[in-house]
Amino acid sequence: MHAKAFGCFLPPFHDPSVSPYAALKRDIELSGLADDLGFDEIWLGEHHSSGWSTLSAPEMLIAALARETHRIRLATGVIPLPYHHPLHVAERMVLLDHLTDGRAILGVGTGTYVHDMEMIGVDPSTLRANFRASLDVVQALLRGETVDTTTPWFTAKKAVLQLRPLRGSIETVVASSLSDPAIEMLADTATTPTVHVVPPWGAIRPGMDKDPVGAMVERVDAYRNKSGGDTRVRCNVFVHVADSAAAGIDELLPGFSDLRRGLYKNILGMPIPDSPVAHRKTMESLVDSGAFIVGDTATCTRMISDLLARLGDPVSLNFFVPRWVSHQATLDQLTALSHEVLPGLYGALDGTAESMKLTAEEAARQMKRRTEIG
Amino acid sequence: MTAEDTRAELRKQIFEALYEVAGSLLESQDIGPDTEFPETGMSSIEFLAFIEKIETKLDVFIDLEENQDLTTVNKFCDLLLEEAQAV
Repeated sequence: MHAKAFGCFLPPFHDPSVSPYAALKRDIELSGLADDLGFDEIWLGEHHSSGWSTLSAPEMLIAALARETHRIRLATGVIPLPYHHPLHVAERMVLLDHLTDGRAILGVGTGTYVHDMEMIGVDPSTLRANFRASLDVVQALLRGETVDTTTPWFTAKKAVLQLRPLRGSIETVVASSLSDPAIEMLADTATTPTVHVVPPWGAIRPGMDKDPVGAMVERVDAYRNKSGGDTRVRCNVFVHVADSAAAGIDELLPGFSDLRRGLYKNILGMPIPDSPVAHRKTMESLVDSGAFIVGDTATCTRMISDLLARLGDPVSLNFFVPRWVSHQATLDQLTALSHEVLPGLYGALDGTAESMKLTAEEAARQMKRRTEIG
Repeated sequence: MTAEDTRAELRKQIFEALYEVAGSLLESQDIGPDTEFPETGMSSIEFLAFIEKIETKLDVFIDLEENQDLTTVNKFCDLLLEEAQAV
């Protein structure tokens, strides 16, 4: 994998005014486009309730995408380990690893929606302990070990995988806050982190966090110091290409407000202010702080380049795709990122720019020579 | 309605909002209009919910970036009355 990689992070929520069938088709279309455009990986989330978050089994979508895509890596974004027996998690992932020709990434987390937990009898106070116990067993199974263990939550008796990872291992990534205990856990389990610059709702109120990017970079630095610095960090960031930052904010505000109001305030009960001015100020402060990258191609390229420099290598920057604009506009955004922004980050435009400069410098003399050709 | 009546009514509504999000705080201690919220043990999420309740109840937006010292009921009253006058 390249020192700098780029992908997409699709959260599991979908506009409830769109039929779930159509929403799923859109996810598949978007994933196929991301593959065609050359993105390195795509992350697909898991939730079980709220009416918005309708993707309940990312592994099944990945199985479908295995046949629809050719080179993009496919990640569970993320499987809440305390919801599933660890043998099932490991079995499904290794099967996916085969179905995808080794392109599966296991993304795991603790889970977030309490309603999801209550529907299946998971006690939120047990999440951390159960997550860690499960992760240890999943990792051991993927390494080919036979597991015999009994925990307060699950039992695994002579548990072993029949299939083994296609190429020896499956990359395991943990959704992490990069708190000190989380960094310890990553080091102990030889896993790597994926972090959001800001959560999917942006911020509860405008200006609550003056420098979210700086705070995240500080945590990433702490992680790299602990891990030795050569382990991959994945960072999920929202980017929107527009004529200007102001135009971009106008394009995004309806969808951004709908999600904050419809899901996070009205359904999940977060104290998000719901006046138009509050949503606008929240987005403006996120854009001003660099937590959301919104602007013209040159601005987006420069800001992403700055963020990558601050995060260090190896890094995977995954573009957060919340679908705050129409489906077609979302596809157009991915295309703009791939065709207009990423080339600037790779230096892909340097050769043509240099050739233009060198040719233009000699243009007068060469024009004269041309007349001599006859 | 006199200015004092208006303030009293506003204060009542703010206390109602406070009760809705942090009723147990009001029941367990004597919170007055000048009691500092940090001294009551109010959590940050309760504080945010309290502001959101006031906003919904009174149809206003309270800009915390501009007003970082909103730590008592009376300070909320002062701000809201000031904004109402400006309008």
